[in-house]
Amino acid sequence: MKNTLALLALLLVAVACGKTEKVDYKADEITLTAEGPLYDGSNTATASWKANLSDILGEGKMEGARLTAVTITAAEPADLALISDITLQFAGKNVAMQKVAFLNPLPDGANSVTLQVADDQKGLADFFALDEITVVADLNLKGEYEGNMTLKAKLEFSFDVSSK
Amino acid sequence: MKKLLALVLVVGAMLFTGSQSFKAQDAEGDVLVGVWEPSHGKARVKVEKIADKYYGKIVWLREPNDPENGQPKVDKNNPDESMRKVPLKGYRILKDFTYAGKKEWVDGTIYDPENGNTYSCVIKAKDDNTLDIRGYIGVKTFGRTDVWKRVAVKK
Repeated sequence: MKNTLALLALLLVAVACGKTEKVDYKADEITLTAEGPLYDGSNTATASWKANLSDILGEGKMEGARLTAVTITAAEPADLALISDITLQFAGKNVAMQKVAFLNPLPDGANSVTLQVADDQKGLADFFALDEITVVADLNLKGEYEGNMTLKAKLEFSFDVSSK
Repeated sequence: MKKLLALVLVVGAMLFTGSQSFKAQDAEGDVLVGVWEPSHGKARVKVEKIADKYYGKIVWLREPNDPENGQPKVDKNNPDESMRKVPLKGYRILKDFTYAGKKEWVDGTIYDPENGNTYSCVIKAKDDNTLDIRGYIGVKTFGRTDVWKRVAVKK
């Protein structure tokens, strides 16, 4: 019993000392490019992205990260009508690729689409320790497309940041 | 002065040889890039290289529609319920492989959409057109190997 009480007290002290706060972060727009020509079916658009977190982290340390919203637009607005579905993933060196959002099917006539974010997100904070994150969008196209297709992604995150 | 010149030449030669060896290693690893068909013949998987790792996605399905509802097949067995409407066409089932030399790719995973399980995986090229894909949990010994064939055979 004494041991349990001591452990509980220790836990309380630990929690009190390591203060963690939630910080919302809206990333700058990311430009994803699918190199054409593109064909009916599955195609891939990618972007290398380095998040600039120094302002929001300060002296703190990121303990956790969660993607909360994704909005996609096309550089040529009509291009979205050619896409039947989108799956968004993060990839990077020494971190396993993670599927973070998707939309299937895309609504007809939309100028921008909001993807459904994955409930299960594990270890997303690891990506922010990398020099750069590769953002991968898998697109199923309804037809062929000459040239490169450019998409713009707006990502929002919620970070758990501990102060030192 | 002569010694210094010789040293510079030797270091230069070493750097050149090293970079050539990296290029050769890169080219060897890229043998994995292409479209492959598992032994069951129900799907075709396109392997591509993204940021120095290899990933494979389903690009063709013998039966693209779900016989239960006639709609394009989706990842209905995904353990994460929120992702069960992701289409199987375009689904990345091979992830995060790195080339280890000797025609072997390691540290990757393979996803089986028929049961929603992800397995550790190693890939070994028997030749330019044939792969041994071994999926396992924990220890490589307790796994299963499938033979995949390149769709557009290299001659």
